[in-house]
Amino acid sequence: MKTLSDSQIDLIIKWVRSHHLTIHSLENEFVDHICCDVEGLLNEGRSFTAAFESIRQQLGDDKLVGLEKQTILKLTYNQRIMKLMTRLAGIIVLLSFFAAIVVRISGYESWKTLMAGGMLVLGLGFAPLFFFDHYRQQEVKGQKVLHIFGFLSALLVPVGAFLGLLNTQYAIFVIAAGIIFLILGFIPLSWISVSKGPARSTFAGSIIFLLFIVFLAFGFISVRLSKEKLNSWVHISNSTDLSSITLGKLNSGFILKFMNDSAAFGRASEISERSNKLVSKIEVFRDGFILKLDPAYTEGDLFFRGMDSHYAGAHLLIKGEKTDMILSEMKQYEEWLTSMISDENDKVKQKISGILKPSYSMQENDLTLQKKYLFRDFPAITDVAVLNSLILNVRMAEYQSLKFLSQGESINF
Amino acid sequence: MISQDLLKGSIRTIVLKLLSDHGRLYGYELTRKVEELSKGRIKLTWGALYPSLHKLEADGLIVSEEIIIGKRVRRYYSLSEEGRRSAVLRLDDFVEYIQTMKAILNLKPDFSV
Repeated sequence: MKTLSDSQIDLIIKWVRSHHLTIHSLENEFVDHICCDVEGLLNEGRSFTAAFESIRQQLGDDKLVGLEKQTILKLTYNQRIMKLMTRLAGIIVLLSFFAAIVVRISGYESWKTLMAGGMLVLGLGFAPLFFFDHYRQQEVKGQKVLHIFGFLSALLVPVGAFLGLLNTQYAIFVIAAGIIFLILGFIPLSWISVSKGPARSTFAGSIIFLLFIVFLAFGFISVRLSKEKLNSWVHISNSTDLSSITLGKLNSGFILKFMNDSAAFGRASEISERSNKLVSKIEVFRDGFILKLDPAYTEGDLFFRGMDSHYAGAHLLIKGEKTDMILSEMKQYEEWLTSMISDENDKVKQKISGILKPSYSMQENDLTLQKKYLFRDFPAITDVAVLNSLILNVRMAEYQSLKFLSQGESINF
Repeated sequence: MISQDLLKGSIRTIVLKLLSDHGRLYGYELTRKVEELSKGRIKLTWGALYPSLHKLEADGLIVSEEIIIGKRVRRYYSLSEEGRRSAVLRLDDFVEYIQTMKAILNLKPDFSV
């Protein structure tokens, strides 16, 4: 059994090293493999020069470099896929935000969907991938902790902003938690890393920091916009309430006009009494709904806790049996009021019906559909505004009836 | 000679099985064993062997140790604990695969007259 001499091995080592391979262990393996192959040929009777030349020709000039590349590609396959996915997620986020801004400027409502989608991909896709990839590469414990804080902030801030876009009650708390991780964890550790670490971590730190500013800006903008919208609903609800109170007072004053006609006065009092009864029922129902969301609510308060809740209407009003009762009483009131007007005055009848049958009249035979139409997936404050508008409708119908009665044209009145 | 394309998905199984049978082997030894057992019909190329060995090591299925022999450094591979479990599972899968393939290929209609 022939074996190679040290000088022959040196020649092989020299040739392998001339390829400048970067994986040292692979270089050793190639040397050993070539040595074994050459030894095999020596045992077949070939000379060292011929055997080595034959192996060199088989491998060519670039085979070893190619093999190393192949090994690296195989070893880094998962990382490359992860990087590709991170980049894809990043592109989706940027495109969503860009499209959301363009749509918002154009005045369309769908910007929220785009923004919310972007926030979700950012919080659940890009941020975890980005920080996991960086976390994996860190060897120093402090750097690993830095990336955990970064991950938590990057997850919570956009998810909070997403919840904010849906007007969810706890959105601000989620954003606040993200900011706490950012201010108390990520920024101080980044600062230490920037001042002590090499240039690479400075660069990475700056990029991450800039990304966070973008996250925060979007988070706050989304929450601020939803607050503006909620405030406008508070205004609408309050105005409707004030209008019905004013109209109620006007109607009470109207009755005094019938003092000289006892029959008409009796009718007017009957209308007023029934209207007041229905209004107070709706008011009690409305206040009960608000109190369930905010037990500390007192009459006259403009704001109440949970007014931005999207699910309150679905849980308490659409599923609630008391809502059926209120809507049925609205219908009975309408029938009662119009039955008192003769068919000759059909226009008046239709006018009163038109006031009392709100836009849900298309589904008037299906109570569930009516409820769903009135109290759809909107914040609770809009449900309160709808209930206030029902009160206003009763007051307006009352006013029309009294006005008609005052003209003395009714047969039945 | 069996084509490299057919071999592609089986190299990890072959390596794990050989290491499971022989304890520890180095690269050249592995190629010789495969050639010997397949009676020369399977030839493991460097391009198929070394990237697979390094990947198996990175995945924690095999471990390596370097031994200096004169001026050469020889890298021996052996199965890790996880690799031992994986070798059994992979071998079961592979046997099932071969039986399935055999069944499929036997179902081919015979066109001979």
